[in-house]
Amino acid sequence: MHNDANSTDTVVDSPLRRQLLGGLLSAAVPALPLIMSSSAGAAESPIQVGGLPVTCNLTLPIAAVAKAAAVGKPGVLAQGFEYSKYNGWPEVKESLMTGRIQAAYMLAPLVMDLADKRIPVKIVSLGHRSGAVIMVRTDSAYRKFADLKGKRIAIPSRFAVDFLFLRKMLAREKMSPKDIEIVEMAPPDMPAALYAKAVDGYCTGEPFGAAAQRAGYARPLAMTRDEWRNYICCVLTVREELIKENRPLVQELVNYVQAAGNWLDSGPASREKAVTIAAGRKYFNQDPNVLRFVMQNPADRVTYGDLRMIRAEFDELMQLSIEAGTIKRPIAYENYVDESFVRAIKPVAISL
Amino acid sequence: MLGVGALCALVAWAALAPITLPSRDELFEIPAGTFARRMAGDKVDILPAEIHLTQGANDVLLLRNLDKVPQIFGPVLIMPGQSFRLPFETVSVNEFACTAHASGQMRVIVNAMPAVGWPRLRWRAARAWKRMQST
Repeated sequence: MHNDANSTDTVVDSPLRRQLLGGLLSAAVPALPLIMSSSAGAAESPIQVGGLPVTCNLTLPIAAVAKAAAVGKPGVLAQGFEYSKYNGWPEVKESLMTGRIQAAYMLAPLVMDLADKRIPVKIVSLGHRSGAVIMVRTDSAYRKFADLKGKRIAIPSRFAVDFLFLRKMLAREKMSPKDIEIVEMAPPDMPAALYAKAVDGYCTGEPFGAAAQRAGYARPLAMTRDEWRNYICCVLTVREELIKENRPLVQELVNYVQAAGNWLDSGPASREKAVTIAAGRKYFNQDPNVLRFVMQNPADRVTYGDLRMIRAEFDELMQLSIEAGTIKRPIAYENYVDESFVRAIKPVAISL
Repeated sequence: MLGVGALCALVAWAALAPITLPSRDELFEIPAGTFARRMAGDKVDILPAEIHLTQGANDVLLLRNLDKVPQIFGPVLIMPGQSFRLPFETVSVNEFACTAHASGQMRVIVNAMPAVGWPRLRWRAARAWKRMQST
């Protein structure tokens, strides 16, 4: 395959050339298994960690890049982990259920539900805190959450933690879900729906709030940073086989995710570097200006530094999920969380 | 006889001549009413779900939003009437979130410049056929 346009113009194709190439290929084919096996033995292939291109998942690409940069240094496992981009939670869930991937960032209530269905998965770390917003049109009269009574609000799905945020806000204002009209909609459609006045507001994770805010026609009415500061939605989840078969790798994954979180919250320079990394085609494949907007407006719109796993917070999330009807019954904390990796964290340096 | 000669010359040119296009932009327009159709449950893709570009020839995707609402692409938010230009530098397969598609996804495949001979002839024929269909 020629990637250089000019070089293709100088190639002379002929039957003789094809015969020569064919001969070379047929001579090389018997040796291929030897070549393949020798290279396979050199290093184990990295595990794929599923994630979505959303700022709640930002610690994952940073951890993957930092780990890749550290391979070869003393005390660092040769086997790495790579960010595997998915387009929606149902695909991540399916891949994790079937074992197509061994690890992923997942919505915490979905993991609880999977554990309840005896799918062998465990939450081993948080991925972030905060990062959900309720957006309204800039020119709307809504100034406080209670102003949304009787209005049409879009949410990603009734299983999304954003919906729990909305319910929490309703409860705080002594309102019920019947006081608003809820419509389910894919987050990328929300900015257009708000612009077209098909909805009066939307509740979702970033960067879909920032995209409309940056365009000038939307503003946040409520943000988790103000209303539910310890909000969690995306958590690092691994299949139990991986824990049993490769505990050191899971530990290293947790070490790097936690280190990525501390690094992201260490200052504007780290966040700017993170924007450059995450915007790349291999990762989020997004407009760096939108990601930068999320990182800066305000700086704690999404936070990453406090990734402690606190039982009471998961209990609250479960209670809210049960009330919302997305989880049928309480699930024992030990059934879906493995705290041992966070307890055994070894600090790693992020040098990017 | 002259006609056969001219046809042979055309085929030879198509197979051998370097590919140079007036612009490297490959324009795709999101027509007015796209969002309304999608919200009404219309599953028909207005843009192709898969866009093929050729490195060194037409390797800049140019999206023009003619709809009355913003459209998200990747997720750059393209306001009504705005255009978004995205150059591709390497042969690759790229997945983008795109609100102009029923699936919410668009794939951009960047192919290598076709080699001299049959691949180049086929490339030109396919491009001519596509242009004939769209007019």
